[in-house]
Amino acid sequence: MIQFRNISKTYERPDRARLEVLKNVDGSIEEGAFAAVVGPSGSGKSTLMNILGLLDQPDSGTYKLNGREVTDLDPTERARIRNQDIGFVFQQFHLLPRTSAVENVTLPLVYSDVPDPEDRAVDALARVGLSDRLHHHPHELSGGQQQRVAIARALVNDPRLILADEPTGNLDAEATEEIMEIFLGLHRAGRTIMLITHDPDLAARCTERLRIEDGRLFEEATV
Amino acid sequence: MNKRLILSGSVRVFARYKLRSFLMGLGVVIGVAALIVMRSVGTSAEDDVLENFNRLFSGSAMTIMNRAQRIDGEGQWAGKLTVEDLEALSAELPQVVDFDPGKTATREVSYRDVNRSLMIRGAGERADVVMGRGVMRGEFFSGSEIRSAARVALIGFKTAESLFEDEDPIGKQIEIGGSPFRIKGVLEEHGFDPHGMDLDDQVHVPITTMMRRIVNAQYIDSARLLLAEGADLEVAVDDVTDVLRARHELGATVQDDFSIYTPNQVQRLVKEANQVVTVYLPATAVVALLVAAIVIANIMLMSVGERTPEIGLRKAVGATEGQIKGQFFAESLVTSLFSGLIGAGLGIAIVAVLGMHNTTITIAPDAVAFGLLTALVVGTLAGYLPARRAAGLEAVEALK
Repeated sequence: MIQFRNISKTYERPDRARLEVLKNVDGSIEEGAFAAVVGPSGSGKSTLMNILGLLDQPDSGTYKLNGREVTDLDPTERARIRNQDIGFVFQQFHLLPRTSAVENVTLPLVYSDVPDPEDRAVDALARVGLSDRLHHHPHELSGGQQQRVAIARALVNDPRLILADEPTGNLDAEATEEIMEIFLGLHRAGRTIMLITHDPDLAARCTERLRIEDGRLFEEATV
Repeated sequence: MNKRLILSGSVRVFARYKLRSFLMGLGVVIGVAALIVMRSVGTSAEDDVLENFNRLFSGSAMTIMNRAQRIDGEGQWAGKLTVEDLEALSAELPQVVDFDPGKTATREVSYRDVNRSLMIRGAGERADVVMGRGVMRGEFFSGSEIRSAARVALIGFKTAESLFEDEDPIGKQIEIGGSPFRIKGVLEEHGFDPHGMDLDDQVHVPITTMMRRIVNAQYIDSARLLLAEGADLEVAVDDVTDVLRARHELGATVQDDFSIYTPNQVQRLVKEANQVVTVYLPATAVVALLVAAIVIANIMLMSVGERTPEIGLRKAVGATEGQIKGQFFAESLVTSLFSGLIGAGLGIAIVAVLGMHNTTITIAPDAVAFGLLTALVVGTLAGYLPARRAAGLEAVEALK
């Protein structure tokens, strides 16, 4: 599903100090895997996810998604892949304020051509158990519910790959469990998931683990 | 890309940011309303002036002046314009429906022991209609008086006061240049002509009497032609010129020996004077609309900053730069067009209220169209910079 080789990324900070976030990283994620990415803060986990999600470009290296080389695609084609093949879930949810759950979930469909976008959004919300919250605005929902809306949004275009960047980082234990159950369900349904997390218990429930430390990637043996 | 969702999204931004949208649109609302009100009141005032003007100049008409030089000391003017020319014009040109010849001279006018030097004007049978000036008392010249060159006169009311004081002048006998004339009537008040001549202090006699008995001349000074309703003035000027040149046997290289004036020239002056109200004042409203564009651009730039996470998210879920640009353009356009419509409604309402008090005030449709068009331009201008900035945001940075 995902194969990347020699990925490097360096940021230049305002004080001109160069920050090497990823150093010649290699790795792969099989189709249908539920991969946890762990490591200390600032170790490059999010940068890797952004690169794999085509939100960011590496300074060097190659990246194949679904067997296709995507490193050098033009911005429009990258946008299309983000729209069709990848679903993002963020720690801060990133829901549009003052906008109902259905409309939030419809957002990716604004940029694709599907019939009855609202119906699909309602379906996606049903899959995360929010059929009774369709027209609630984010501020009327709990943190866990907001994240479930965000997951429905990631699912609405039926992508093969879900990238989740610390989706439970802002949630209590109960909500964390709800979200994890949803991811496990998606995994059982055959979707490929990459989950960045600080929580070793969550990581332990994934099928494989990638550890990033100091810009380098290590594949950990499954326990 | 789903156009319906894009559009409904930009409409929904109104609901999401009510106060901000209100403030954004306010400038356009006021600008468009002001534009419509000023332009409507301005053009209505102009129409009013022109209507008065047209009443005074009784529709379409033209004045022909002999263009000539003084050739003797007797106040004689050499020129070739004759009453026969006018009859020929009337016969040959269908659009010439009426005419009045004019000939003036200054003569001594006396009644008993009062002597005054006054302007004497020879007038035709139709002068009351063509010149728009009848009598306020007594009777106008009859056809037979004109044909027989009768010694009859009409006098201005000021002349009447100066010669007769409290006496009734009608039927009285005066002397003009030493010959006796009977007064038939007192002319309607007419004020001053553009040269400052007091039209209420002069004496009118039949044109025939003037030509044969007072100045003994063959040529008239001027003439006024009335044209048929809807006649094209420009065409009429050309036709009259052709006929007169032919009758005066002017060679191709010889200049006209007459001049033609039409109310168009005067109308143009009136319109030019009115431009202050009809053009420059509405132009200030357009300036106000440009300021509104700056306000919208400003608020939208702030909003781009505020909505950075939204932009990042939209990019993450598959929006291209072009689509982000399109979204902010659409928001700016929808805001200004919607505000423009409200402004147009407000402006029309204000004009309607003003129209209740002053019936000459009516809505100027061109101002409504121009106002909406300007709103569209404002939206495009105002949306450009924010749209570009939003599209240029890096998704990764925007999502932090």
